Amino acid sequence: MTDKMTDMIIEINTNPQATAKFKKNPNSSAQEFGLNSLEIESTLDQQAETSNKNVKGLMLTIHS
Amino acid sequence: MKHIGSLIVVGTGIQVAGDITVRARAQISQADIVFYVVPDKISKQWLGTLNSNLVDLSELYSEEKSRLVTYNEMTAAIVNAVKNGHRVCAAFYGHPGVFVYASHKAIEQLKELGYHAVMEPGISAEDCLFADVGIDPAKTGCLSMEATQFLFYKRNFDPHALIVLWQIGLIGDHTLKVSQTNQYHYSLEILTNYLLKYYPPQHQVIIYEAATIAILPARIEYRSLSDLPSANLTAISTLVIPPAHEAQLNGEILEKLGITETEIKKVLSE
Repeated sequence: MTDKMTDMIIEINTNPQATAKFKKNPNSSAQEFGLNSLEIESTLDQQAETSNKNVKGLMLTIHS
Repeated sequence: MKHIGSLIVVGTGIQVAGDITVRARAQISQADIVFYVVPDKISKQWLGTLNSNLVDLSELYSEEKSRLVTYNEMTAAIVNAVKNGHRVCAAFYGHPGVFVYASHKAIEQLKELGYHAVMEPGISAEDCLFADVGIDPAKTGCLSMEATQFLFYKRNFDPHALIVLWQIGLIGDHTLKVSQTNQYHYSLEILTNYLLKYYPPQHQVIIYEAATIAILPARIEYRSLSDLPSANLTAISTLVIPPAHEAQLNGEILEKLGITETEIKKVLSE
């Protein structure tokens, strides 16, 4: 995971224009952050994987 | 008498950096120390841009111990920092008061000791669900519950209301130690058979997963209730069961109120 990648995802998540621009042309948007589409694909896969593993309140409510 | 230390609990929302409130972001920036639980590396790096004094509470997780032990350790870490006189911010992803044990416990303990301890709201996965799927929970009413609790306990539920079952990918586990979502199939089959007493087999249910990045779509997968056992689920999957039928008016109550069924139907048709 690179700082460039974090910068790009923060920009995409906080700026609707950046979101639309990325959806229209992912390669061009990635290059502006010094990244390529393969790096992004890999990061998005990792993101999905880690999000699925970490559930903050896992199963606790059965004891409430 | 109030003590020097204090606690503000905030939520970071579901989409990294994009869902947090202006106020919660400021609380993180202005704290002496920030304890946090976030689901990924990108979120951790982003928190580092807001405050350099961070403690990752997720490091307390271990496959060898119950999550309840971990949650109590998280609570103790937060409470001790406040007792040491720090202005503490505890940041949890989503809403900090939804599916979070340590946030409520820490506030409860600190208030008893006379410290200032409050929670501020955040965007939860349920908020994302209502927006992404286009459901208004007020339309029919909504039962929102952890899936295993729904399965384990005898309780009346209303199939005329929206039913939302969280952590469906972990349904049936009672150990508080499971971290893999490959053991749900048998419990899911039992749940399905139970639900088939109230809904027709072809009733459309939804598997939902919120997106953490704006360029990724949320998972909104419709399937027949009878096909639910074959669903591929993860730890963040939610089962959404839309109402099967419209609720019937209660004539006895309406009569006491002096209202007729015709009057209500007329208002609703306008």
